[in-house]
Amino acid sequence: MKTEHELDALIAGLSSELKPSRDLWPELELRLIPAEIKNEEPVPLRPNKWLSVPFAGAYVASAASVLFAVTLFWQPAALQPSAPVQAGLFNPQQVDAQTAIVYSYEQAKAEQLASMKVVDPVYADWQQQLAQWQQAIGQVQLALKYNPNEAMLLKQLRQLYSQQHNYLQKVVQSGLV
Amino acid sequence: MLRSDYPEQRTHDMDELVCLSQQGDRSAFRQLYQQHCGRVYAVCLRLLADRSKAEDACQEVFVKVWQQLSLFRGDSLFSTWLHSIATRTAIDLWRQDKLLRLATEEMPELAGAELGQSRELEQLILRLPHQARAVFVLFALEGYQHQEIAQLLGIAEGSSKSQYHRARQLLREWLDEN
Repeated sequence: MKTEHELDALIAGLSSELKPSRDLWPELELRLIPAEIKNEEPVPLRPNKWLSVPFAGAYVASAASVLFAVTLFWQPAALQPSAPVQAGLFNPQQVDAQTAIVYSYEQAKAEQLASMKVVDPVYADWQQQLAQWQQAIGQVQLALKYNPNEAMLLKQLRQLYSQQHNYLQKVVQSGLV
Repeated sequence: MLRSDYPEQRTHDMDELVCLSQQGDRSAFRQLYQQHCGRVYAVCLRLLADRSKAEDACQEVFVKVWQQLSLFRGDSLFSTWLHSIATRTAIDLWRQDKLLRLATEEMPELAGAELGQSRELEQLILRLPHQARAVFVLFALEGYQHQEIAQLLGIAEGSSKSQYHRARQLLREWLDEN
């Protein structure tokens, strides 16, 4: 067994800094609300007769008809996952949270794929696995078209990308061993 | 490798960046982020043992720092102030994680760039049991005393000491196996 002294030496050799596997700034920047906006007093809500119970049924009916119309005339092209963001055009201040997530993970994925040399036979079907995650990501992106900036959907999108990222990391590592 | 080991030459530039950030300058804040991200991410990853959670935690820390910048009066080093926010945020998430974590959850396969030089020990720290890992990281890597750790984690001081020895014992065993 290693001695206490040897362990202390190894601990002393640990780095105080570790680098995240992807750029966290684009997503982070979107969450930086200017102080003057944050400190603004919330505007008190006034009672509105149009939001009262008798009108609720009418709202639901009109929302359902709009949803039906959108579904009916939905273009197949819109079902495709959004095009990758071009690095040169990317400006985090001008994009939404979804684009920032996609950009950050797609950039990390491109780096992982570029570093891939040999793949262990255990991961022979890695491309299929990746395609399945991509399909799930596409579904969440589709839902985000209806509910842009919905927190739960964004969280789901981040989790799917994160799972895909972790899996790809294992595939890359398998070729380095 | 204790709580404020930033090189002194950085501090003057840092003061200027902090002032600009306090005035709402995002590009200055980005530079602060770039200077401190590695240190913040390290404590988050080591405490949470999960890359995705560590990334979320790291972002959360910098959002909090941005929101609370007006409260920073310069009584301590900015790095010390930031790092205490980082540690407390990571511990809050660690506490939530304690309730949610499944025993079957896989350990993350970390990339070489994430781990730095001591890859093997770094991976083994992530394998440590939940509480032993937190105590080990806070005591051995972050320089907290057992009394402080006990307060931070809501455990007895004696438990902190025993968990630390347990962590060391496990690390020594595992290092021998590998």
